[in-house]
Amino acid sequence: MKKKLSAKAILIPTVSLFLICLFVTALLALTNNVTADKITENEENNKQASMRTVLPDAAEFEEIEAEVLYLGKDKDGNPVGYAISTATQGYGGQVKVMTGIGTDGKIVGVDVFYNDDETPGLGKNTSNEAFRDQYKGLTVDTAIVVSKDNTAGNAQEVDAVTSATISSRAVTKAVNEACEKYREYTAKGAK
Amino acid sequence: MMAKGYLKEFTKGIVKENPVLCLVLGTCPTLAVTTSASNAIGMGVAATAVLVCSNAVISALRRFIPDKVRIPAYITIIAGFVTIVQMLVKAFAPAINDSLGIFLPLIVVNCIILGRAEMFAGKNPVIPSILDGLGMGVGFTAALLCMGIIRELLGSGSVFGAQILPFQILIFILPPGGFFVFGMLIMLANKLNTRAGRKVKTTPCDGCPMAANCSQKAEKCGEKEEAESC
Amino acid sequence: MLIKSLIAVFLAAILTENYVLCKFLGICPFLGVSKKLNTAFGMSVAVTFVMVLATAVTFPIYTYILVPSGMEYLQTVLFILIIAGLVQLVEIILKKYIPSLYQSLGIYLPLITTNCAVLGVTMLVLQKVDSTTMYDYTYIHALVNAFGAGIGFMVAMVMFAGVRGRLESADIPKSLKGLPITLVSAALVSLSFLGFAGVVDKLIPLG
Repeated sequence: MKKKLSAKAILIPTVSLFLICLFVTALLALTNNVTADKITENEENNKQASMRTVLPDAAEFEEIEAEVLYLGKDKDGNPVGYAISTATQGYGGQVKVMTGIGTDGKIVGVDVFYNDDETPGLGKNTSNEAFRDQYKGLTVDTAIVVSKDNTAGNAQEVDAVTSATISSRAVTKAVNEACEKYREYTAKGAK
Repeated sequence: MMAKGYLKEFTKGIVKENPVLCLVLGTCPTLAVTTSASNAIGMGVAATAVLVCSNAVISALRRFIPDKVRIPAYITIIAGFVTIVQMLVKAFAPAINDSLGIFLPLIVVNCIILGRAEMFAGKNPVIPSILDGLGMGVGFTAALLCMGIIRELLGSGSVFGAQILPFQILIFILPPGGFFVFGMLIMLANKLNTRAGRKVKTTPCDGCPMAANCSQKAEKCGEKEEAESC
Repeated sequence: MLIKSLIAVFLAAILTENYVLCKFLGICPFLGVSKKLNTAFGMSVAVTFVMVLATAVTFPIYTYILVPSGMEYLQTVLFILIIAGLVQLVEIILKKYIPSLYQSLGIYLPLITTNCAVLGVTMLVLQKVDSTTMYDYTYIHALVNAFGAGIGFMVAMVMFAGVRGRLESADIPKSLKGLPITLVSAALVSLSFLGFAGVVDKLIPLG
């Protein structure tokens, strides 16, 4: 057991393990080079599609705050509203929401563009139109609530997806955060 | 003669030594991603790709890798392939990447893959190792698909997204449903094995998912525990 | 606010985000080592220890080395090697300096390298950094999350060991004996954890 290790006995395993690591790293760097552009392109396409869903009138988007706030413009370059991306914690993991807010401060559309960690058939139903469309026309001035939390005839209220209150709340929270972002931005003097 | 031997390496993983239902390996992804049939296929194909590639490389390098650093070397190679598969999936099938989530990188610690590297690829030539990996992968995919179809049909009333049943029993796509369906499938597999006259595991560590590996190499069990946990 | 969010993270990791029963990570040891109470407990202590240690190392490496250099793709390879190395290191240190602890925990350590819950924790805490918006998800949160995940693993293991103790003396149909009945009882235990959904948000409202 207490046999002295010869230099060779240490060197050979170390060197071969090092070679394997080196080789694997090189291979990964290569694959990354090949796929990185495609992956960014996919993400960009997703985001564009999502922004178009929430602001159907916009023809192009100008990035104001990277990855978060975008200004939507129509064909003639007139601003039609903002698309704001926010993320919250849902039942199973991250929920990412794109909120479209018109220049009049009313929500134009909401798109849940990532909720894959939510339960299929329950939390995932938050991306159904029936749920998302409830946000249309609500104003950004007061917080939106999920009907289960406050049933006192609040106008700023959405009905939760059946048996998925937590996911519904997560989406609502993300929308509220987007509204706050919008208020902050417009208050700063982007008249 | 030769061809028959090769065929055996391939088919054993599908039925007789099915990694999920008979050897009870890789339980985590089996339970986690089988909420729908299409998820199950995505996971199965990704794991099969990693399994075949890692088996091939490990078997090709089996004389080169010193015995002492065998396990770390295997893990590095497997992790490399997992990352490659992950990047490819992200680039060309982003929807699958989103729905498998964390379980895609976690293929690394799927004990089927390290188990096959240790038990087969590290000792056999390249072609049988590839066939072994392919067979085990197909067996894994088949078992996942079985779970996925049952859970999606009962839990969402659909199969591959096509609505079939007019009702949904939600519990089947929630975690408890996963455990339950898996238990029932293993019961069925045990029953079929008994009927076919094959031995059903009743080792001292019965009910232990590592039992399958243990009993096959009981003499080395202590030293090679690593390969057997998930 | 910091303390409050730490408590919320800790409780969520145990109850609503239980790695075994809600996220299906670490199922193999959960089914394999939960037969006796003391082994279940020993295994969970070892897992908790490695989880915290691994997160303590991988979190800064990812945030301060991999992200700035644009090499996020090395995450999986690097993390699993770090975990394997740490486990070896802990084993050697325990063997040399605290032999009594090594006697009781040592046998579980090699099993942990390939425990997907450990790798899962190190990766999931990094995702939380992006998705937590009510407060800054810091290094401390990550550590507390890892610790909570370990305790959650322990709660699941110990509870399940108790359930399995009862099964020993139960009259079970022959075809269900062994693994099938174990899985069915696991289903019931995880069903009970579904009841915790939303409880942390209600107890500790943040933001």
